[in-house]
Amino acid sequence: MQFIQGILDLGATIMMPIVLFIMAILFGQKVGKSLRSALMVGVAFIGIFAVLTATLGTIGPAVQALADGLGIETLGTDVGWPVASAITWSFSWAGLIIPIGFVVNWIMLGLGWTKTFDADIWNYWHWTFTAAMTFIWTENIWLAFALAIVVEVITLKLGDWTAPITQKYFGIPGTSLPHTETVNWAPFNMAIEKAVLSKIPALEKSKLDTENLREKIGFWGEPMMLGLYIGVALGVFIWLVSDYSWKIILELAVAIPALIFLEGRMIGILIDGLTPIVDGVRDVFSRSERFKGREILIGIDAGPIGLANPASVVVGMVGVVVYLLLTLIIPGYKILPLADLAIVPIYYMFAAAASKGNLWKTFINGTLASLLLLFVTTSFAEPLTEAAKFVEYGLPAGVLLVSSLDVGAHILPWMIIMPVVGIVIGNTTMIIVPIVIAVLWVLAWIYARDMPEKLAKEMDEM
Amino acid sequence: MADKYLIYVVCGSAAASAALARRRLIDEFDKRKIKADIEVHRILELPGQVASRKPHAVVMTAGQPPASLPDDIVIVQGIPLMTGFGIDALVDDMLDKLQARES
Repeated sequence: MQFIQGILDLGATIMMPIVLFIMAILFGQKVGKSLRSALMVGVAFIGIFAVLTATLGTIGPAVQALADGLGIETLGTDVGWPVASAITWSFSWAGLIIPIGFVVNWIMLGLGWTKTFDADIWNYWHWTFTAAMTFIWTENIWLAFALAIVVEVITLKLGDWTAPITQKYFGIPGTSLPHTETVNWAPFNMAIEKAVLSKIPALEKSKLDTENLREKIGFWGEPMMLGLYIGVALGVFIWLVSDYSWKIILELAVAIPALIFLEGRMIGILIDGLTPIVDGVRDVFSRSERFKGREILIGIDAGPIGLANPASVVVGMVGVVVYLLLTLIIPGYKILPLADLAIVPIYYMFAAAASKGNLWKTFINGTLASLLLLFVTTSFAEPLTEAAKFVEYGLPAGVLLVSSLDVGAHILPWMIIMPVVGIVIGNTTMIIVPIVIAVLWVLAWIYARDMPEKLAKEMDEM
Repeated sequence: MADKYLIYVVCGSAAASAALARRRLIDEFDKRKIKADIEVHRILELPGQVASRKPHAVVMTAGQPPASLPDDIVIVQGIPLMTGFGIDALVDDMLDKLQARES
């Protein structure tokens, strides 16, 4: 027991490879391949945290200086989804979410509660995230797992529900998108389209050629270049309002692109390592006779789908500016959007699906949802920062608060975690807003329940 | 048959799922003992990338191929690389098309 505790205490870079090696073997992969993959995951973890340390030491204090200059009390840093997911995977029990998530999915398929087989094992981290946030507040591991399962069940149902339109609009037959942080906006996006936007004929007129625009964005819109613009703009601001010299402009012009670009590469390494387990799980599923002859939707990652969708990409680029302005204008948003600005298009993708790619509607609908997204980003900042400390990832000096837009996009986990945690730890003030939002969210889903089918039919008739 | 194929896996991002798709494709080519360089590129950068180094085939994991691609590149829809189901058929189809182009 002491030995196991000793291993767990060594942290994610050592513990995760060991856990994943054992899991790969259990799922029937070869020893050599499993070893190589497990090692690669450890290497990726070292890379993720090394990149963060190397860049956040420059970015974090500069962001705080901006806050001081503008007279804002605290302003934390958006460190991006690769870091947020690495922090959640760093809990000693996090690897267990993969088999648990798989078994829950299996049971739901067996009972006919879902049509989705979620092959996107990587994004089981959304449920690990749910568990991690619950654990940080309550230190109750059973409650953490329970809430993770609740989020998984609802996410699979959301995947089923939206499948008709996501298959048709994004051109991905036979699939669904049980991808918490994007699909959990669908009830609001669909309801806003049905109740308001579809009743304004003037909005139907947008006739921009998104394909052409997308090609023009090309190189200038790639994440690293985006990091450059943000770095320069931010640097100029900081130079104007603080004691920093002009050099900060150049420092941020490299540090922010480095954070965005290198963390993306690190995740590629991590995924390379996770592949044998992902494929092992898939093989177990495909060998089963139980589901033969039934309609099964294969759940895939929504990220690359949204980032390949012209309407989402074009509107998302405008969204980047909107996110920055909203944060600086509206008091209460305490995290400056940075690293995840590269993936803002995915927060517009269900608004794009709801309007079948109408740019004005996508912009209005997605931006309304973003008001809430930025609020949740702030709301999760403290527990995520605590979690980083808990897994012994030392944040550089001067960095008080971290979060990520992607974390803020997890509105479904937020609506479930906050009330439960509030009751458990006796903090009633954190309960009220999430419950109000949750009620609205459920009503929106009920009201718009016919939308995905209806939209898909309309696309057939076009 | 070309000595070595150059294949682009094209994705919305060049992060998580693209890495998975690439790893699966590499394994499949290794299994068939066919040499190929397999690279991941973002859909936004594809036209530029194709202009500088023209691949034999492009596998689209998400979205539609840009209209400006040259006609002699084999284009395949790569959803199986995302779902993990039907990868065999996808690779067979791609190799058939590649060989048809050459003969």
